[in-house]
Parts: sequence; structure tokens; C-alpha cells
Amino acid sequence: MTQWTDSNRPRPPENPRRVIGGFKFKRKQGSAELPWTAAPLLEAIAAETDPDDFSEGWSYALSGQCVSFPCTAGRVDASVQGRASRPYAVSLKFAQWSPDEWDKVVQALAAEAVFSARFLVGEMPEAVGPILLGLGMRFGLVPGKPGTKATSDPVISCTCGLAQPCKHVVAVAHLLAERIETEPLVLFLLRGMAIERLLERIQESRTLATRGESHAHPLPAAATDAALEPRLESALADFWRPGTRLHDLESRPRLTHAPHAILRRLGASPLGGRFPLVGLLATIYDTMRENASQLRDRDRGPLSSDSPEK
Amino acid sequence: MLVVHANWSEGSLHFWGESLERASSPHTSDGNAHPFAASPAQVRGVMEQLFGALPGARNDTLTLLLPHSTAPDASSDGLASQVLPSSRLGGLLGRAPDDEEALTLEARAVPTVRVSPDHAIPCFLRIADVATTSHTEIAFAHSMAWWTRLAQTAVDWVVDQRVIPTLVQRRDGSLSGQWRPWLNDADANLQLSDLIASMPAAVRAVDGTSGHAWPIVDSFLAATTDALVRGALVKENFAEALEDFSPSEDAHAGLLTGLLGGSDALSLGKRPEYDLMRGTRGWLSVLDEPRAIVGMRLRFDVHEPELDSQDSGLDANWRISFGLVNPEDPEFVTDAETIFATPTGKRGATRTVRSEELAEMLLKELGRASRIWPQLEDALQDEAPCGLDLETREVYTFMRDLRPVLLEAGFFVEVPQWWGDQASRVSARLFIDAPDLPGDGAGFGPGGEPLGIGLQTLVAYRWQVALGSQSVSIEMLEKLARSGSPLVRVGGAWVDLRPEDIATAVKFFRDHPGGTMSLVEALRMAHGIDGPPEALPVSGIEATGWVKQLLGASENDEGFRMAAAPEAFQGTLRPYQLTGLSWLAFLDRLGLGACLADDMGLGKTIQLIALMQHERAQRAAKGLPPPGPSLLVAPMSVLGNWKRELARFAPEIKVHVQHGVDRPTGARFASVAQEHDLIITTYAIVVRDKETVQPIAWRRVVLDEAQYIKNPPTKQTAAIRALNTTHRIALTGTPVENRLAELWSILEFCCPGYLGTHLDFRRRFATPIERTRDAVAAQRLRALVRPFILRRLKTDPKVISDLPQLIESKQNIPLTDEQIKLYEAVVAEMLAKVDQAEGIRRRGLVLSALVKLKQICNHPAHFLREGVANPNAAAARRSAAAAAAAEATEADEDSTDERIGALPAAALNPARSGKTQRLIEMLEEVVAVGDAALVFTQYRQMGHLLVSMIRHSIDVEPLFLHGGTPQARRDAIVDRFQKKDGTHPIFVLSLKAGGVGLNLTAANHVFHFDRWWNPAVENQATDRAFRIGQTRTVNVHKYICTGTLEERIDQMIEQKTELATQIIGSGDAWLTELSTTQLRDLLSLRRSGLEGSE
Repeated sequence: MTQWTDSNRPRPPENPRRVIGGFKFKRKQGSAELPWTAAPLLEAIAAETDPDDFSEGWSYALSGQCVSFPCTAGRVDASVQGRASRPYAVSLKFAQWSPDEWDKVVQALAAEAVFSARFLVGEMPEAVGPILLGLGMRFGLVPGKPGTKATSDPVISCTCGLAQPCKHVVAVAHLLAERIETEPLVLFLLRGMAIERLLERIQESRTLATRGESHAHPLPAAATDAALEPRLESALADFWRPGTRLHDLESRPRLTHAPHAILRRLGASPLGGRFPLVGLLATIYDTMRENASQLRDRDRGPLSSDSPEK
Repeated sequence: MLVVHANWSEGSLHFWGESLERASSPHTSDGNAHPFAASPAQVRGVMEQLFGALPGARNDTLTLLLPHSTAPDASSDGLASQVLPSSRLGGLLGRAPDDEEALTLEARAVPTVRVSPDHAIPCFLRIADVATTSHTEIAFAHSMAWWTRLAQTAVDWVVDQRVIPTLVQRRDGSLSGQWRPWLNDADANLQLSDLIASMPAAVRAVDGTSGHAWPIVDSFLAATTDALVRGALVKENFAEALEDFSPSEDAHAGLLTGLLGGSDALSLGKRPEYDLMRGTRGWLSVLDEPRAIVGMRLRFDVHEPELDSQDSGLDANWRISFGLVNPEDPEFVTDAETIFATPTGKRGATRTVRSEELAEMLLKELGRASRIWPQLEDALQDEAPCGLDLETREVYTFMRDLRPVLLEAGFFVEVPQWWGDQASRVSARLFIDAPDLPGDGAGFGPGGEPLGIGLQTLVAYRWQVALGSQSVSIEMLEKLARSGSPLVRVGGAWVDLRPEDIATAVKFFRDHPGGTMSLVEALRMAHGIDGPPEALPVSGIEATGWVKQLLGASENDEGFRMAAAPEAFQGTLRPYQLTGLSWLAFLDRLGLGACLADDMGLGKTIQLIALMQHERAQRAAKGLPPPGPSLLVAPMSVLGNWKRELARFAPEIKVHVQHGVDRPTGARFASVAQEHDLIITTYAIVVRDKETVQPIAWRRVVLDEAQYIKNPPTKQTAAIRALNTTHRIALTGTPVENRLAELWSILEFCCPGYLGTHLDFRRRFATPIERTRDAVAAQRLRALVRPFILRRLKTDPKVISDLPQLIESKQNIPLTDEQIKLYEAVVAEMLAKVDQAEGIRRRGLVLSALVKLKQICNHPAHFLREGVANPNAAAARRSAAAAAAAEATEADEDSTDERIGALPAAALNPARSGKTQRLIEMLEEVVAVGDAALVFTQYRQMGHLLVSMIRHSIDVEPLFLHGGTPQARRDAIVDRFQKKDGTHPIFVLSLKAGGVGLNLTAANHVFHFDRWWNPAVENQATDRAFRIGQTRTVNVHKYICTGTLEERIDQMIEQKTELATQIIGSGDAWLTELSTTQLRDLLSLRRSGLEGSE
């Protein structure tokens, strides 16, 4: 990586239109000393770019020529204000991992609790890189092969029409590198999944691994009191009989439940299917009530062997 | 006999059993096999008997961690640990571990029959039905009460539609659909924690599991609920609904593929599983919001419009206002107006952070509620939404349909008080017009006979339409209906006027103009039974004259005329006893039977005696002779008490005790009956001598301890019902209203036909109340039986002020035939030998005989040393009189340490001794009403016998404290008893070990099972319960065998004879100084005391 000195500081850009409130590159040391997560992309861009353009792009980044800079799943779509009246649209499209690859990633990251712990405080542990490399993925975590071909990572484009990478792309690449440095977990988003979602997946995978299953429903609060019962060894004196709270249960008034109350509380499903789910469920709830109350109230008669004399 | 157990393991239910036969004979086991577990064939046999054929049931084994005793065992070599029987089997065997510290947990394999989840709930429901009666070959483990409640609760949840569809992901990533109960709402969660907290340890004892309660409950509920719901859906072929949809393209269809059919697998074809899982999770999490969101809850307040009393309220404007409450403290409400009116933060004003937070919370809650109640969105368009104005019809919909859903979602909804009250609905009220009783205090017909009204008397009735508390005409009702509003105002009160109710009502009143019907029909109809088929709610009964009196009789004392205490009564009746007498006399006058169910110790005997005297006095005032003979049926063990109480309070009443081998029968009995006022006999004799007893026209038949006829189909019950009489009274001390089978039997005796046939009663009351705790049915039943049952508790304010703090009573108890034979043999042998002996030897003979006689009075097994691990026992059994004198004197006072082995079944039979029989009867009552008792005996061996017998007969685990109990253990036992949590209501103590020092105020009954001749010692023992800290009346029951030395010495102490002072001074030594004549006089059995005065 080039160490910028006073002699080769980037020259000021030739009067691009001023932008108020644009994104500014704040790194004092330029692209030097970037961490492993951010360095390869900017280095690769630098290698592909004419030094003047690179310097100009850097300058754009410093003066905040970038108007917008959203990172979404697999891509960055920025607008950069140059000399033209309208800002140019810059896009960086990253290679996304396939569902199968993500399964492998989740599984690998769930295997050690340390990953989740570090992710939760916003850090990217160094061990993640090698672990993911070991999975035989088409693309590793850190992108570093920018270009315009379909196989590039990222695929770069700009509406300025100049040769790629242009200074606008360079500006965006600077901002992105800085973002990755402070917020390294954005890399997962660039590979297709937000960190919140990834953490959920990891959590789920851990649950699956430890408990054998995971559910779509939340557990009742009573479940968390579970470990309060005495150990079997301490329950030997009264091993066979139910506890006194069974009487409490018997003496509580029976609950009533308004018909379809659960459905009414659930409201429409967010799943987006066309099948009339809630309507069918309403019929199902009536059927289950009918069937269960028949079972409950059926007269089962005395035992066949019961003799009238006790 | 097999004790049936259940365990849940890996998604299946396992039944297994303990065999009583194998446990009572010597047994060994191979490896870790359970030594007295029932064989697979036995378990299958019992299951077949219980459930019929169960498809898919498989033989299996389960390894359980069970309590073992590590005490050294003579039968095996050394320290082999032995599996302990379960508490139920232990009860059947009369056996329980003596010392809890020596228990360990070890694994044992038991053969099981494994049942799939879809059969689990039907199996437990079946068990719940049959577990209340006893069977010859099956007994149910105590854990079964828990299992059946779990299963019943699971079914209730499905009936209530408290179920969600959900997804489960397995380790391989595959998804399954599952139906499971939704238990996160506050009330259901409470039920769930009750179930978890009360799970018996035995249920979580499957080896190789965590031993935690929740996973078992979770797995059971998930598997059985899913089976229950899915079963219904498969039967109705719900899967067809998906035919036109592709599960891989339509998320809804995808979710349903795992829920509707026989298989729970989701076959989606590609991999949107994560999204489906995530989407479903998000959807279901809506239900959990009340728990997930901490903070305040939205509260709706429905405000009635202010109207004058004439306004029909048709165009009224209602308002529902919003507010926030703290769910922890729902009294604390901040209304929305206050929240928004707090000055805003602009220009340095003082709007606090707090109020901004509140405003935000209110809006958030409103947003949540608007999903359930879309109309709220109108309010949300307002910048500061404080409430909604609604029309009557909208408010009606809100209260009827939305309120329950909002409540479940964790919102608070306050509605006017009248809402939901039966009184605000259209109902029918029965009006019965009856004449007043003749004011004449005598109250009998001209010939002195009762009015003979009875249940079949015809009464005039008509129906009234009731709207709220108002009676309205049909025309008025129709006019209201035409207004079309579901809520109308009648006489200033709002009434819930459902269209369907009005149609029913109009038709009903057209069809039922009134007329006459029998009293029994009227009462049943007034409580909504045998009602008109149109199913209009019946809001009760209004009456005049004697029917009005009858309805209010047992509730307040004004319904009937108070009787004066009969002059002939030799004593004083307490005020509540006078009330009881008056009530009995009132019902008698109407020709109606009665059940007097006062708590033990309140004097039911006395009230009945006074009733007889009252009747005689009434007749005498008219110059009439006493009525014909009455029959009293009682357990053998209380015959002596009745005789004594009658002699004491009503010596003029001529009593014959019909009991014993030489009792009169046939014509001879008929003439004996005519010569007496009261014949006392036992339940057994009524059955045995029915040809003798049934032909007689009894003035009155009284059943004491009426719970003896609780089993409807027995011969005994039939024989009792067949008795020919004009008046029936049942006496019982058990809480009869809560024991439904007993209630029916007793009322069927007192008021034949009143509760309908047994089958009808079960269908209408017993089943709904027992299975689903149906509060409406329970309430109806209470109202229905109220006129005929009078039950006062010792704690009733009216009673308690009349009661002394300590009530002492003596129980005069006859010996059984076996006891008589043993008693007479010991006396004869002693008298034969004592003349030839002198000095020490004579003294030894006398003391030995004395101990033996006391033991015989206690129980034959005590004297015969049954079950005592002692070679002398066999000798003793061979000949009652042959035991050596030296052995008997101190042989089993409390200081000796004889281990009691396995008791033979005969030793557990309380019926062999009058005392134990009576003790069990009385302790059953004590346990039934939630009291607690101390039982004192002088003998440790008797204590062991009592403990085993109580465990065997009443199914509670008695505590036991004797001279050999180590100090640390004593404290633990006392603490346990004093905890008063209802788990150990009976405490057996040896007089020496427990008679002093302890504080046992948890007890309000003290039994002196055998007598100590020094009253001071007994009083000290009594004072364990009767001391500072005691808040209730203490009942002291002293047991005395009639005709024996116990009775003789008791009389001497009572009469304070000179001999008595010697007795008190010197323990038993004085006896040895008596002459042979004196001994004969003192010890000989006076059989006349048993057979009656003839």
C-alpha cells in the first residue's frame, strides 16, 4: 500500500460541484493501515486505477462529494457529485452466497460461541476469514477482485461513462473501506445477509444443536422456572405424590376462552400466501373444539369388572 | 392387585405396574430388574380391562430411578439395598420407610406397555373416571391424580381453542408442523406452573433424562395436543383444502402441509424454510407481546351515558376512554387526557420526559389493540387520542365480542357492573303460590300426624318474564324487541336483550301459562333442571307461604318457627343446636326428609334426641301418645355412644339395641319394636335381617354416619332405602356437598327421586363438575340441595361464639366378637391361676393380665403380636393365655424397641376392633374437612399398627413419633406437622414420647386411643394442641371399650371414689393388691352393656 506523503498528496479536484452534507472520508492516514477486512478491496481498486484518477477519487471522498451511500444486501448504490449537473450513480455488486453456502457459514459460526459473542459487540474476529476459506466457498468473506466482468467481486459500474474504475468508484471505495473498518459486520450484508438475521440463524442453529429442535413459538414463562424443582435425590421422602399446588389448580376457576380469540389476536398472516389461511384456521378451531369436547364429555361407563358390591 | 403407574419417555406413554402379590411375598431380582414390578402380561391384562383394545400398544422396558432403602436386610447377605414400594403400594401393604435418611436413588428396569400419544389422553380420561371408585384388581399410583389432571387440562385447552399452529425445526434442518397449546397468557401460564410445580418426583424419574419437569410437560402437551387436533382434521379430510395450491409457491399452503394431514413433515420442494420459519415466528410473536413488552398496559373504560330513568337509551351516546395501567398494580390508572394534557415541551414548558414516554406507550398500545379492533384506527388519526364515542349497538359488539379477545391479549377493559350478569338477561322466573302453615305452634294435622306434604304435593305455579330484576309482560318484551337494539333500558337499568332470547321467551310464555305441579318438579325446574326444553335461562324462584319458608330454611333462621328446647331434655341445648332442632322439626312437619351435616363435635346426636322429645311434647300437649317406634341405623362402633347419650339426655325414651347373636327376629322383634320408642341397630343387621326390619312402619328412620351408604348399587343401600317410614333423616359429618356420589346416595335416601336417577345425576352434575369444574352446574346443584341440607362448621361465626374452646367427649365403643373371646379367655385364665399364687408371682399374673386386656381392647393384632418380628409372637398366637407373665408386663410399652416387619393383611383390618373402626371413621371425617389430629397411645407397637392401618384405610401418610425417634428427626416431624399444608393431617404419638414439651397447635382434634389412668397425664398430652397459638376449638375424644376394665376404671375416676385416688397415685400397682373377688368384679366383661338393657 502506498504511503501518502506531503509530496504526493492528491491534488484538489477540478471544481466539482459542492455538496453540502455529503459523506466525508475522515481517515487521517488515507488508505494506510486498513484492517484485513477492508484493505484488499481498496488495494485492488488502487492497482486497477490510474494514479491520478485514484488521487482525484480520494479527494472526492475527502470533500464529501458522495451524496448518498446505502449498503443493502449484496450491493452498494451510491450517488457521487462530479462536475456534471446531476450526480453519477455508482454501484458495487458483490457476489452473494447461495442458501447452501449460507447454511455452511451459519453452521461453522454456530460451532463456537465466541463468534456470536464478538458479533454482538460489533466485532469481526480474525479467525472468521480462515474458517470460511476452509469451507470451500466460491467467494471468501472479504471481496478483493473488482472489475466489470460478471465474475468480478464486486462488479463495479458508474454512469459517468469513463474507464472503470473511475474516480467516482474510487471515492465510494474509500467510503466503503472506512465503513468496513468501523463496522466490519457489514461484510455479511454485502454477501447477502444482515448481521441481525445472521445472529438469529446462528442462535437457531445452536438451539438445534443443543436441544435437537427449534420452534416458531415462544416458550411460556413457566418453562423458565423449570430448573427450580428439587433434585430427585432430595425428593425421596415424598417421591410418589403430587405436590400441594395440584389442589391450587383444582380450586382455580376454570378458564374461559373467547371463540377464535387466538386467531383474532394473530390477525392476518405476514407470510404472504394466497391461500385463505386464517379462514381455514377458523374452521379448524371449531372442529377441534367440537371433537375435544365430545372426547371429554363422553360417558365411558364403569369398568367391566366392577361388581356392585365393593 | 396391581398398582398402575405411568411415565412419559421419548414421546410415548409407558404404563407399568407394581404387583401387590409379588411385593408381599419374598422376592429377589436379577441385576437391576425391579423385583416386584408386574410382568408385561399382567400390565397388558390390566390395560385391556381399563381401556379395551389399544392398537399399537407395544411391550417395552423403562429404566427408572427409584427410592431404595439401604437398611441391612436379614434375608439377603449384608447391605443389599431394597426397592421401596410406591406410596400407594406401601399403603396397601401398610408399610412405609421408617427413616428417611437411609434412602438412596437407584436405577431399576420395569417392563412397560408403550402407548402412542394419540391414546394417551383417552387413557387418562378413562382412568380419571374409574379412579374414584375402588376395584379388586387395580389400584392407581398417587401420581395418577397428576397425570389425569394434566390430560384433562390438555383437553380443556383444546376445547377452549387455546391452541396454535407452529413449526418445529429438527437438527437436520427439516421442518414439521405442530399443534400445541398456547400457554403464555397469564391465566394459562398459572395453570401450567401449578402443573409443573406439583409434578410428582416419580414422573421425572426416567433414567438418562435431565430429571426436570418442564421438558416432560412440554413434550407430553405437544404430542398429545397435536394428536388430538390432527386426529380430528384427518378424520374430516382437511388436507383436501390444499389441493389447488402448491406448497412450494404459496407460503400458507406450505405451512399447512405439515398441519392438516397424517404426516407432520413440510414438503416444500425448495428451500424457503428459513423464511417460513421466520415468518411464522414473527406472526406468533404477536401473541406474546403482552409479555415481551414491559411497561404499562392500555385500559378501556366503558362509560354509560347519563340518562334519566325513563329514557329507553336507544339513541344514547357511549364513550370508551383510554388510559394506561401498571399491570402489577391495576388500581393505578393514568387516563389519556392527563397524559396528553401535560404541557408540551415547546418554549421551555415543563413537559417531562415521563409524560412523553407515557404518550408514546399509549400510542404503541393503541396500535397493538387496533389489530384486534380496527375501529380504533379512527381514534389514532387524532393527535391526542383520548377515547371513542360509540352508539349503543357498537358498544354492545365491543363488550360482547371484542372484550374477551382484548382481555386475553393483555389489555384491561372495564365495563359497567351489570354487564355479563345473568340478571341483565331475559329469563324466566318461577312463581309458586303456597298457603301459610297453620299458625298453631303444634303444627300438626288435626289427628296429630305431620302435614304430610312431602315432595309430591301439588303446588300452584306460574312463570314470569324477568328482565333484570323487573318482571315484565310479554307485550312489553315484544315492544322492546321491535326497537332492534341489543341493549335497552328497563326501569332505569340496562338489559342485554338478545334477539334469540326474545323469540324463545315469547314462545315459552305462550306455551306455559302455569298450573299445578309437584313440589319436586317445581324445585327442579326452578333450578334449571327438567326445565322447559326451550332453554330459556331460569333466573330462580319466588314463592309465598310454606314454600318460601322451605327455600330459605337452611340459609337463615327466619324461614321457620324456632322451637323451644324440650323440657324433658336433661341438659342445655346450645343456640345453634336449637336452630338445628327447629329446622328438623320444620321439615318433619312438611313431611320432608333432611340431612344434618354439621361438623364433627357440634352435637348431631343431641339435636336428634331433642327432636324426638320435641315431637313427644307436641303430641302430649294435644293429649296424644308418643309416636310409633323409630329406627336408628349406625355403625357398630357408635352404638355405645348413642345408648349413653340417650340415657343421659332423654332417660324417658325407651331404647332397644338390636345387635348381637341373640337379637329378636320376626314377630318377636315386631313386638319388641312396639314396646320401645327407638330401636338402634347397625347397617349390617338391616341387610341381614331385612325380613325382620322392613315390614315395620317406622315413625322415622335415621342414618348416623350416613356416608356408609355412599355406594349407590350396594345391597346395603338398597335395604336401607326399602325401609318403610314417614320421615327420613341422615346424619353425617363429611362435607357432603363436595362428594357427589355420596350426596346423591344420601339425598336419594332423605328425599327419594329429588336428584333424579343416578345416571341422570351423573350426566347432569357429577360429570360436568368433576371433569370440567363446571361452575354453573355446581352452583345449581348447591341451590337445589340447599333446602334439605344443614351444615354448620365449627368456624361459622354463629357457631363459634357458642362453642367452648375445648370439647371433651368419651367414645363408648363395643368390643368385636373376636375381642370378646380373647378378653374372656384372658380373664378366666388369670382368675384360675391367681388364687393359687402369692406375692410377686401373683402380682406378675395380675399385671400381665392387665396389659393383655388393654391390648385386646386396642386391637386383637396388638395382643396377638401379629407382624412383630419376634419368635414369641408365634407362641402368643398359639394360645392367648399361654404367654408367660414375665414377657407381658413391660413387653411393649414404648421403651422396647421391636421392629415391626411386614404386617399380615389381617393386622391391617380395622374392623377387628371397635376402637380402630371408630378411629378410622372419625379420622376420615377429620381429613375430609381439612382438620388435623393427634392420636395418642401408650404402646409403640400399637402406634405402628395404627400408622399402618391409617395409611391403608385413609390414604394419607401419618406422622409417627415414639420413644425411639432420634431428636433431630423429632424436630423435623413436628415441623412438618405444624406446617399445616394439608399433606400430613394425622400425627400418631406414643404418650411417653409425645405427651410433654411439644407444641402441636396445628391439631384441633386429640384422640386418646387407650387410657392412662392418671387424668393429669392425659391432660398434659391434650395440652400439646390446646395451648397458646391454638385458634380453633379443640375436640378431645377419649376411647373407652364398653363393659371392660377401661369403662370400670373410667367410672371410678369420674365418681372420684377412694379407689380412684389410689389409682391415680400409683399407676397399675394398686390392682395387684385387690382380692380375687374385687378383681373378678373389676375385670370381668359385662356383656349386658353391649346387648342393650334387656
